[in-house]
Amino acid sequence: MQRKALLLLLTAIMAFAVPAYAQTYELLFAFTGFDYQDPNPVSIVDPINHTDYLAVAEGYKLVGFVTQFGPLLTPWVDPTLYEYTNHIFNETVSSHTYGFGFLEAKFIDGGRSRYYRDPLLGGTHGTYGTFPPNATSPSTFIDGSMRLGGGIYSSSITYNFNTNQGNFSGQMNLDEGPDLIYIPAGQQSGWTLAGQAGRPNPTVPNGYDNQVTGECKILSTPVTHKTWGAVKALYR
Amino acid sequence: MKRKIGVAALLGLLFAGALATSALAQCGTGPMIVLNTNSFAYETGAAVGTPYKSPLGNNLTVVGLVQKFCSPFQDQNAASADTEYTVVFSGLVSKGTSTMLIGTTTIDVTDYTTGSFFIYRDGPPKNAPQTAAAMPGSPPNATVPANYLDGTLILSGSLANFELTVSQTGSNNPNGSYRGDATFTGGSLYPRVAGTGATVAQGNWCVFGCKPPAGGYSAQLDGKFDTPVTGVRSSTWGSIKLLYR
Repeated sequence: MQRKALLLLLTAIMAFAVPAYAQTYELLFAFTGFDYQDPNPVSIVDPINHTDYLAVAEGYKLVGFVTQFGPLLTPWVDPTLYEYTNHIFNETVSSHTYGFGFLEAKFIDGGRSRYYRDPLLGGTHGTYGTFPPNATSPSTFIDGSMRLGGGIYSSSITYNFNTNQGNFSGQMNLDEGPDLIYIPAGQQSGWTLAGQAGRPNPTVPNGYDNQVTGECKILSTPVTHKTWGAVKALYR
Repeated sequence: MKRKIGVAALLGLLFAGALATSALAQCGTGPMIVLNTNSFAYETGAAVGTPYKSPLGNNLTVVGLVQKFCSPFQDQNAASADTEYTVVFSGLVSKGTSTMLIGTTTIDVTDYTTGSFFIYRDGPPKNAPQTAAAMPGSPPNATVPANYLDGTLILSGSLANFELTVSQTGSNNPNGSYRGDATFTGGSLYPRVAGTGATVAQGNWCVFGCKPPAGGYSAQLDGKFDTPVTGVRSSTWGSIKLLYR
């Protein structure tokens, strides 16, 4: 009985260990867009200490276009027929720490990221406009069909005001949308949502803060080489 | 003569406007060239420390693929099955990394000397690796960067003020970004952006859990070259009319 249990365990370990060894990071989708603060109660610009940017309790939102899909979604999307847009919202600043030209802003868990599909013919093209929220943003980025979404947690932004560039990073668990069926159950949690945010940039429409590029991806797990002898030794 | 120049300028503006409004839906405002996420960086010299500490004098190279072209290059099909568009950043010499702590975030900032960028159209067939798993280890090697530097050079230029910022907040995984001022100076498609001045090349700089498994790379990146914005000057209709009288 003990031998059978061990064999079963060993088989299970092999089944999971082989894909893990071959695993590299996996892209879900990549995007470009613009971010903005909403709500933005501290709106008076403070060029010295930047207390106005992502102050505690302010909101962070992003609208943009999906530019690339990874292997899980590529068979199910068609950019020749549809426009794919993305929207990040419900991110609320929990802490704001500034020093030496750098900002660390952390967010309360509960943010959300979604991507949408809208027909190129007959749909409404995503239009940024100015000073969002406005008549076209986010409305033209969240129309059509919501395909996939997830909850964001452990997210933060680091921003370098000396050179006006920053990056954001958070974790995401996928939990909604018809395209969720294309994500294996074991892979629906633990995605990393990360990207770059930069300004000033003449192409950033008035009222938006940064131009953004980002990715949703699963990072690879470091693995260690073992001999069969060493693996067997674990179960003796 | 002045009138002809004026008419040509007006036609040019109308053409530019048409391009701007007919740009592919996925482009939106801003990006001119979007990089594929299967783009990678390596440094020659001493080993890069974690999360990203580049020793002074190291030489940074980026090799990557174009994911999408927007106006004025939307006739270039980056999604072609047999033709690839490759990107190389080179000649970026590290000025060393400075590190600081803000709140619970450790931030590594690295500046580089002015380098160059190149964009090639190559194929059929494609010969650059198309995935992280296909990247051969320990670059430079027989494939990297050579297979990214073949074909027809369509765009090239200088890359100034290149800077990496990599941060790690608490126990979260580190992540970073890059930014540089790109000025187009050559290539077969250069006339489309001649005289537009510097634009921004920027993107995400992933340093943990995303590098090619074969080893020898310092980061995985995405990003874009933004649409250059030529300076404009306010004027009156009267002043404009005077130009053509």
